[in-house]
Amino acid sequence: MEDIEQQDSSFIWGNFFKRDREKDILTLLRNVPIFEGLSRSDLKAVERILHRRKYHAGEYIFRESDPGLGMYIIERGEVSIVAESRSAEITRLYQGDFFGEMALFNERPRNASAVAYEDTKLFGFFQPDLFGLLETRPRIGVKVVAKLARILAERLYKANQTNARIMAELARKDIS
Amino acid sequence: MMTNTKILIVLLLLIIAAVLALTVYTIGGIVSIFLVAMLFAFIITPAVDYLESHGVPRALASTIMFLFSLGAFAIIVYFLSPLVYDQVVVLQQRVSFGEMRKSIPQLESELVEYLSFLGVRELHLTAKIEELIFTLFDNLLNIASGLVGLVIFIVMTLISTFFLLKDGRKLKKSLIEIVPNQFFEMSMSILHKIDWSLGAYLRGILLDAFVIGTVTTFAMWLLDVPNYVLIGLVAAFANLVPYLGPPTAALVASSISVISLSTFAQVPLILVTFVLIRLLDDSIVQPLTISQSVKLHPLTIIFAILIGGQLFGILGMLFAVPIAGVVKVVASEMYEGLKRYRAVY
Repeated sequence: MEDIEQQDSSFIWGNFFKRDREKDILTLLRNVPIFEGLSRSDLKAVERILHRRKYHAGEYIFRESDPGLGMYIIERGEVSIVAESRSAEITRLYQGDFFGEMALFNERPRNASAVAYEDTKLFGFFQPDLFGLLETRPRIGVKVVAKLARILAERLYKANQTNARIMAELARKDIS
Repeated sequence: MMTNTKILIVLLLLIIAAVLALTVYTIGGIVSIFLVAMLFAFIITPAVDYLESHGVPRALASTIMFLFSLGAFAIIVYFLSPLVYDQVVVLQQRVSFGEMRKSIPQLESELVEYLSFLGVRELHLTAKIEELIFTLFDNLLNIASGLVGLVIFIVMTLISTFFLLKDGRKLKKSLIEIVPNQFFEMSMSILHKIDWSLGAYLRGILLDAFVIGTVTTFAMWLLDVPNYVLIGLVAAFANLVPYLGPPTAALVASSISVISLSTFAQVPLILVTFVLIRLLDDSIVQPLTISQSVKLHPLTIIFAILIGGQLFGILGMLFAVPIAGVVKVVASEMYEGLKRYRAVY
């Protein structure tokens, strides 16, 4: 993280490194499933509306039951997703992973907390940004929404399968 | 009991409110340039967004819409100003060339006759009207002396409007960037909702004023009331002030008719027309243009007008209610946002 800041401060090399950093960011975004298939210029437009945030180790990104406003993509660092009710870590996320995408569609309370496990840099992508993108750059906005819909449909399909399996198991136990 | 975070938020809000109040009080002129520019930007932004959605780059879209708005304004002024100017000149001639003075005794006798059931014998109209006109022209002279300031104000407002149109989103993003992580999502949510509600409210009151101004102009033209364009303009601006504005506009229209025609003949019809326009506004235009959630209590309106008048004179009175509306929108969205994030209960 620090090396990037040092590069920024160099007047002579700043521009070269800036271009490198921009390339890194675009590569990172291209690998995020909701931005898959976007062209370089589309990705640049998306990058312009993302919010870059820095979190120190142990700092909350959001808390369980807070209204959700959008999703985060990890640029650097690690994020721990924690169920506060059980005081247990659900999962650990790394560079390029994303979380909180459900909140892009509704402001339902978050069902877990997100905590920076180490010093972390994130990109925030929020509901107002998504709606803004749909209004001002509908071609890109529709692509992003379609990807999001596919991800959520996939998750719903898996949840339904799990649900069906659990129901079947419960029924079998009832019979036996 | 309040947690430290909540105390911090309340303190922060109080500090922000105090700093804003102090800033407006000390550098009110400069702040007003920014506020007016924001108002224009709020109105024009949807059009810029529309162009951008059709592939026009933001900077070009802002330039096009800025020039288009400026052009539309110039065309309106170009076509309306001779009409208004002619009507004002005619009115002024009637007032200053003694024609009105000649007709005052006749008007006075008409009025005394109307009011005879109240036991009125004499009204001393000539002296009272002369005093009123003297004060009015004195005020006009004051306005003329501030013309240079006005030109600077307009130029600065136009420049600020253009940059707010072009870089408004970047500015908002930069503003959000400085918010600490702890309050980041909450601030973003509140700012977005304020942005949305405020835009809708401002576009609503302006559309309402435009519709009422146009309808009034057309109605006065149909009734053959002189200076109908001037009356329409007055009605549009007066519409910004609920309760007091429309009766004031009706009074202005009646006065113009009486001064121009030296008779009260048109007054009842003018008053009935204004009542009908009021009904049209309350039942159809306002529900379509202005959100009911920003309806202000009559007491709030009266106090807002009094405070506006005390601080900034007639202009303050005119814009007091829209500003009170803006404050209500901002405050209620902030409160709702803080409640959603359980920062307040």
